Amino acid sequence: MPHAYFLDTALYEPLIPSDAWIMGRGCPDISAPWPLEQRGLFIEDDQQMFWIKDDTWRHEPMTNLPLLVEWHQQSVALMAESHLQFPEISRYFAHHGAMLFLVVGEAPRADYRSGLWREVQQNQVVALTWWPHPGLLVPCEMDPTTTGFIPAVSSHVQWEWSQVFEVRERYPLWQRRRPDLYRTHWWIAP
Amino acid sequence: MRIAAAQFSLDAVPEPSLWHKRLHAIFQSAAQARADILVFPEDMSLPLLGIIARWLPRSPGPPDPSQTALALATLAPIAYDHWQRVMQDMARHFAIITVAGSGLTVRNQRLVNQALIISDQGHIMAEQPKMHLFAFEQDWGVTAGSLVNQTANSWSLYTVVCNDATYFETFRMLRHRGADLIAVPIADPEPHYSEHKARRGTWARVQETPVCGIVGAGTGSLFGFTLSGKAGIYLPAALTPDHTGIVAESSSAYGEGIVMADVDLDALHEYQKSQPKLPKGPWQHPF
Repeated sequence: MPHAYFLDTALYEPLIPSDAWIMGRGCPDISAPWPLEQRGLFIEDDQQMFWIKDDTWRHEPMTNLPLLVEWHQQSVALMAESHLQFPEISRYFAHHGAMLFLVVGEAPRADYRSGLWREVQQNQVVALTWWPHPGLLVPCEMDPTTTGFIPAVSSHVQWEWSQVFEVRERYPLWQRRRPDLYRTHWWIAP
Repeated sequence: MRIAAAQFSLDAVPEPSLWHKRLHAIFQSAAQARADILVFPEDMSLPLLGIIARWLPRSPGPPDPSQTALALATLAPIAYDHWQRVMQDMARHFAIITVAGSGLTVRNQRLVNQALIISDQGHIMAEQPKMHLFAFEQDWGVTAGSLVNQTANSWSLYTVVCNDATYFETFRMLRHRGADLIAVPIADPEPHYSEHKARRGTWARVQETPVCGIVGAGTGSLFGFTLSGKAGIYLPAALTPDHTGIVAESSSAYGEGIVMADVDLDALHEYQKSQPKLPKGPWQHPF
């Protein structure tokens, strides 16, 4: 079962299981003995992010975003907050198989007023978010309260991919798109 | 400009005069408030089938989809014609540009769920079939339409139907054609209203594509579905004083009523100009 921990600092927490996703805030000390087998790690430092892949530290300036990364057999969309005003970007990533969205930077809110919430709903994916509380954004049908937000408990949240597939089957948004129509139009600005 | 959006029960009507009175009351409220545009819900013509329902054979349990499809293909156009005529008469009488909601009818030998824009002179300005159908509509034999060329009007008003607003592409296509106002007649088959689920439609779309969204909402019940929904008028959050993006909205998702608000189109145009363009140039759907 995929699960994630939210760290209030970029410090390594030795008690966190090695199969967990980790979202951390702050600049990491990359000379410290980090457990490189960790399933995921996102650390923000204003305009940069750090993450681990193939047992090595990666560093991405925000200008390299948006990115679709293959990570432990999972496609993950990495975006800056400014990308959320363009649903085309999320749609593109979802089309290429992204099931988890991560937004680097401030602002996404853990409710329907956030652009990230909208993208989660219209692409039927999940997203880890910090603001204003750490938690998981999910399709409304996956959440008994229908808010589409599952708050982290003790900085921890978990989910099942099968739940996402079940929602997609029950409420088949993707299948009911009309690409035949969309292809006949183009646009430059919102 | 002043905009009005109606919340209207889609319960089957036993005889037309009661339905006419309810419609008249909505039009009258909008006219007294000097509304320029009035928007009604999806499936507005279907309650009229209640007039002939008493003569139809009944069977226990939920209606069989194939029987429903046959009945709709035969009877829905009759209800549609009556609804269209009444809406044209009222739009002319009250001199209000009217998005009459939508109704089922047959076009080119196919059953479609079609929205109408009627001028304040009572002329049909646009017929827009629903493009994104629910599964149960397909079971009823409804077929999905295309985006048609809607006649330009002085307010850059366009319409689509209900589930079309679930897809950002719909609003992008209309905005590219020049839409400032997008009317969305809805009839949500949700017995228990969920604000969050509702926010996935028109409200969300106008946050991404800066236009004014106007929702006419169907309530009551229709063919075994319990409906809920709020009539509302929505703008990008930055254009509303409380940053909610809600200009006006019904207080309840059940029952009937009308909401009205003034919308500053100049402010909307300024906001549209301030929006950034797509980072990588023109977008054409790649898949």
